[in-house]
Amino acid sequence: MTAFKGGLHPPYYKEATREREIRPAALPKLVRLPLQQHIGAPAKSVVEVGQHVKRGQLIAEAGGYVSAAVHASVSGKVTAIRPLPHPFGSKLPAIEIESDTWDTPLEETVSIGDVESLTPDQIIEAVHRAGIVGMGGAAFPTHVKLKPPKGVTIHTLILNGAECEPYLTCDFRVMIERPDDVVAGARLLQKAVSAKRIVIGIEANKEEAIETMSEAAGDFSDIAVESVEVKYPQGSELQLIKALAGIELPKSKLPLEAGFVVQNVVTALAVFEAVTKGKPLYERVVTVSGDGVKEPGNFLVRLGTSFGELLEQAGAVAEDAAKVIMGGPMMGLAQHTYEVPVIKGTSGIVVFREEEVEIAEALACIRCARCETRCPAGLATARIGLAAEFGKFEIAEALKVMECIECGCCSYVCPSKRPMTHYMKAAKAEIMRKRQREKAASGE
Amino acid sequence: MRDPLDVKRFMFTVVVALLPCVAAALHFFGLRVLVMILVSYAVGGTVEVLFAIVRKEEINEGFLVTGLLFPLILPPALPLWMVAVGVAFGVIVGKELFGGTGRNLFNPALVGRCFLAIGYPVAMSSNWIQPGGGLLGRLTEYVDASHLDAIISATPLAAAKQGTFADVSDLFWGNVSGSVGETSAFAVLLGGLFLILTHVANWRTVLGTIGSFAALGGVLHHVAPDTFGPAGWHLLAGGLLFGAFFMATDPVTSPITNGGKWAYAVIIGVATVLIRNLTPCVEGVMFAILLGNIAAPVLDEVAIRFRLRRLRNER
Repeated sequence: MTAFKGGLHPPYYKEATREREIRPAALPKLVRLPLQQHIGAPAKSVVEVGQHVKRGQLIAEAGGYVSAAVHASVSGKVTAIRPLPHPFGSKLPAIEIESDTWDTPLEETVSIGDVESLTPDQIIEAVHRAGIVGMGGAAFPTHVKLKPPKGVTIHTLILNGAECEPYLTCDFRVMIERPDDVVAGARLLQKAVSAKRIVIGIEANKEEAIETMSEAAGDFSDIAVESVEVKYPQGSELQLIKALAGIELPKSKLPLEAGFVVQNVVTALAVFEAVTKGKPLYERVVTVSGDGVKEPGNFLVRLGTSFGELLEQAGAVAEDAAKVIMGGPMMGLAQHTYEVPVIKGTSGIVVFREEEVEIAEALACIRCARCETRCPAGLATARIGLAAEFGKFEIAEALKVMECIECGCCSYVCPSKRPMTHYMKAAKAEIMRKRQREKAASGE
Repeated sequence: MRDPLDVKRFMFTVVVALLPCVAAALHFFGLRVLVMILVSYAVGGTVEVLFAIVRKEEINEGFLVTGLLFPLILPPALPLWMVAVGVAFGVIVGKELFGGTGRNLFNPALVGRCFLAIGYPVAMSSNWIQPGGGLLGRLTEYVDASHLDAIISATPLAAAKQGTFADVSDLFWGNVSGSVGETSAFAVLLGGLFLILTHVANWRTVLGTIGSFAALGGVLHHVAPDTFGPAGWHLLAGGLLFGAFFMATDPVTSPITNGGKWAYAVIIGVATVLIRNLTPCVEGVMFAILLGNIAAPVLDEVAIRFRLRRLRNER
């Protein structure tokens, strides 16, 4: 195994949920489905307030090439289309559906036919239609990752089962409970991009998953299950490629251009269900964990279910719950209300109690370089942090802050408790805005 | 999620690592060492508190290190008021005027010592105590400049300039005169290795400093044995080890980048050899580290440019 440079090994705290089987969450009474659940352009609503929809029905179509369709996750009446609380922070347009409690599915009219005879384009079309996005958290529209630029041949499909985020076990559970379907999904993805081989990367501490996946992949000579070093952020795309193929790729290029397609194991499962059963992406597995929830577990949740409703099913939230995070504690986003909905990229909800939440004042950088030695992107993080702190974004840009993968290692190790990742994100956002302004100015 | 190693623990680790040196100093030079440490903490701490009040900031644990390091690099019989003046100067000019912890260019303890060395050269080069022998050493004694029988005028390095070399085993265990904390190479190594194992001190800086010092010293001794003393002996004498483990590794005043750290360490090692052997200065470590401190930001700049160029070429 070739490890990527930097990284660290935070305590994983996965014991609370790793033995918890995936169980369906109760049908929500109300769902709020944001038009923006993915990277790219928001989807466009195709329903009206008052309209009745069925489960699986298209309610918003993709708003561009890099975008994803949204489907109703329950049957019921559309009660509102307006900006509503969103896990990304501000309010964003969403379609609100009040469940009629019947959960009537849409009659599937599209005949899939023989799966074996599907062409790559048919598979990609099915993935596109189902609104599938990367379900490891980044939520990049999957069909985009299946269309390499002209002249590029995809050689390897990497199936990402690293799951390096602390607390989260949804990928692990899926690999344990549905290994054959995951492999079947991977097969479809492989066919879609005509990849020669599939490499499934799983962190070495997930022995059971390595076992089940190896068994499921057993008959195929072009599928390899590789155990990778237990090191955060092993599940980050570029780091996983480095670990499995020994190649370092820049952040500015898509792995696609180098002949790699990386897909999360849960995404592969969604692809399997979309292509073979015509099932759009309207539910996903979510790990609910952290000391702030009384009965942690893994739930199959309808998209649009509010965090509050889901947390109640995990035995309610402790009274001194102080912090709710969507995703894991390293890369996840802190939430300000339980009203936010579960979206396509919600791999987990982690709740911390007051005593675990450290609200430390940031001190001056003591230049200890711990952040730099841990940075998987090899950036001059300490200096970028200082530049961003004082608003010198042009310095941050010159120091290649855009290569930052926002893994959170720098914040984790900083002895001065500096919000390093926040500085990186702020600098990146500011630079993006500047580039857009320049683009707009030159376009006139 | 946060790593449990915060600034507080960082600084306490350094203080713990200095305890073997403090113990050795107490053994060889007596209880006055404790009084020097108290004076340093009291005066430096007061200055620190005043700045914290004016700036409306919290008091930083960084002073725990500076306040302990400073007396350890002074002659053991130095008048206490000089300890007070030196630490005040070091904290004010060396640190607070630059903006406080994390923003200073020079190691504050060395700034204080440098001030004393230039302002009071005689006191700084004469107040040495003859180390106590036996099982207890001077552990129960209080020796200051008035105990003329215990005061000697030369350290091993000064004596070496006259051609007298102290015994290597004495240098190693610490049974020699010299600055408070540097006397026992054994104690320095004990604490220093602890610092490296806890990742508080960077091994590159230590290895680079000691390695370049030994390499250049060895070569020059071979070429011109009359001018340059034996490298192995010089390694154990004076403040080189103490400086390499405890002063050069100060993160604030050393480079961030690994490349920068190597270059910085080599500057310190080479400068120490040259200053010790080619100038009237007996020591050299202090000026060498201050020189390294000056170079640190530039070395980082160069290292980062190299890295960026590599990133551009690769990507």
